[in-house]
Amino acid sequence: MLPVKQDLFVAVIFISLLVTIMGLVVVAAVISYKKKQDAYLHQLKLMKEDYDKQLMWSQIEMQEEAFAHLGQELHDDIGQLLSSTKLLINVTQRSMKEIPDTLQIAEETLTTAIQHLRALSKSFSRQWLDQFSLIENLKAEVERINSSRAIEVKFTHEMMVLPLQAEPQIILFRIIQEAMQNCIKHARPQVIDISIRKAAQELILIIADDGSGFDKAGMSSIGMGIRNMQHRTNLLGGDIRWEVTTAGGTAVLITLPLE
Amino acid sequence: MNGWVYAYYVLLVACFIISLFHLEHREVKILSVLLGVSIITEVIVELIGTEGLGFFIVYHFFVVLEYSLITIILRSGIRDYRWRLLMGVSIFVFCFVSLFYSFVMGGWHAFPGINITIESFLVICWCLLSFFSITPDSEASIFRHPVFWLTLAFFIYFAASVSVNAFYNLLLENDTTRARHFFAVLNSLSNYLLYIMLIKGVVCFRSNRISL
Repeated sequence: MLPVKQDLFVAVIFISLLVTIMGLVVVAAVISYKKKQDAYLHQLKLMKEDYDKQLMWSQIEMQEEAFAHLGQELHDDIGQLLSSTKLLINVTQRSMKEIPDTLQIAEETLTTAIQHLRALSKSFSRQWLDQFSLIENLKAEVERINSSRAIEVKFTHEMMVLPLQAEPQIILFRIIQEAMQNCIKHARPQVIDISIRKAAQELILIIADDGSGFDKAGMSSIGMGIRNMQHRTNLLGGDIRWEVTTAGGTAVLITLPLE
Repeated sequence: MNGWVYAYYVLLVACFIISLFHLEHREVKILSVLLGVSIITEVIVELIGTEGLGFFIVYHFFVVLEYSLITIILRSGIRDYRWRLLMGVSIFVFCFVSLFYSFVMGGWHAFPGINITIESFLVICWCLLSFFSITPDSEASIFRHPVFWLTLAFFIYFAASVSVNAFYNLLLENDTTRARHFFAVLNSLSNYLLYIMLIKGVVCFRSNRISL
């Protein structure tokens, strides 16, 4: 039998050891929890990204559906009305001995309006969506804007066919449309320059203008349009940024990864 | 009785009262039953003890109840079906073995030391299992998880009980006064920790509800 003091000493040592072991168990439990939590949060983040992507795709699909419906309506309703009006003007012209200049101009303007409406209606149609080519559509869009003669849009591209599926091309087209609309609406440029090129495993798209530029510091309070562009680019796994050009205009730089 | 004991009785009652305000959680409901049973047991023990009667008989039943309720509380934090089944089965096995030992072998008037030691070892095992089964469901740290505090409370209490019991008889043979003092200090300390952590656990149930 041990003396009393030695017994107490052993007891204290034993209890200290026990406290240490308990401490280690708790530390191990905390570390284990932390690891599980990291994995859980990572999983949660992936799920959120996936959910956002699905939501965005649904929004885009709904938007394209609405566009297709709108295109159909434009073609069938307003297009028909304009065609009837043009027919009536033609009939009137035939019955007149001398056609006034104003009527002639009206007839020409109406013809242009019908052409534009057809082009617009075509760009909204389902068939157009299914066989979408960004290059071809961008050419048509550029032509449409250039025909107004208000501004000049230049389009340069290295490839005739982009190594992308139809849906990403539609999304990219909508981003470019949004960028051009912003540019025309806010910067009042003379020239818009669009270029598409491939570098390594990336597709680089630049939309630059010679307009009034923008305040880079004020970009924090961005509007829906820019947020949409960012969202859409993220959906394609790419990156979008806005820069001030050396001439003082704006350049939108989009980089997309290519598989 | 001395001041040490009164103080942790106050904590026990406080913990019971706090738990009554959070009965919407199943674990707290069971905990409140456990605390209620503990209070009743302590009162009975005090009453029988002052009349000089053998009060150990109460502990034979309390151990069984205590183990069952603690195991049910710890079981609620474990998702693995096999472990849950094992814990459920262990309640019946322990109840049977403990009562059989008290009835047939140890006798009702003896202190149920063996029963308490077996109970402690089993609870420590379930606590270890519970510690590593806590599943994160938010960005909150483990220290805001009620199951963590409940498990830690039982773990510290039973680990301390086992170690004190292991040395108690040895010290008792040499110096009774010192041994009893040593036991009283450690017992009180583990009881304080137990009830403080149980209160923290119950409070965490509330803060979890608010954060959701």
